[in-house]
Amino acid sequence: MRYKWQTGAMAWLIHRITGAAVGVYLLLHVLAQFGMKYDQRGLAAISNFLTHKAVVVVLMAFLIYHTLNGIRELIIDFGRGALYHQKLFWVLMVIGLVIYVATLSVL
Amino acid sequence: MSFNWLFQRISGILVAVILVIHLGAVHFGASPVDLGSPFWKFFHLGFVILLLYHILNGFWLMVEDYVRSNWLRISLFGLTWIVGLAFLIMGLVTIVPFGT
Repeated sequence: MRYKWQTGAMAWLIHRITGAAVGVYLLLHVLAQFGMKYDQRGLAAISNFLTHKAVVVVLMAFLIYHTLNGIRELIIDFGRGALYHQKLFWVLMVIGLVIYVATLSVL
Repeated sequence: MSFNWLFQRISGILVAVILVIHLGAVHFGASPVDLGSPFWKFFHLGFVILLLYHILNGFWLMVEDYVRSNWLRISLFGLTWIVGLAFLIMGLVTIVPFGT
């Protein structure tokens, strides 16, 4: 599949990349909780990785992007977002940046 | 309109709402919540089920877009189900006995 260097296609591609990354993170989160409950000491390394500050900083960025772009997809699919999807993208990115800064300040 | 496509959106809305509550209560909350209470057990069971669906259905939607080979698609379909069931069981046996 080929993507053009345009807002919509890039937003979609980044949506998939962030979705895959956050998906793996959350599966590992379930695995780590399972390990904690059943005292599987081998899984403690996963927990340490997941709570590492650098990992959390990237996770929150990916998560906020994926959620906000998901809202954009919904507006395009079920509303009239196709008419103003580009403007919508940048408005949501500004909102996302504000949420991200607020999140980092309480980490 | 395909079922996979529509339910990726519906589960996405639900996961987003639940995730914000989960983060607010469990990870960023000022006071710890009792994860062993019936409410939080049901909450997290629902969360795990919806999240697994959203993650694995998202994975499958990508397979349908990028994977051409038939045998590879079949293998990945099987893998998706194995991962889904394994994580569902792990989630269940972790959440149900919480607080005991």
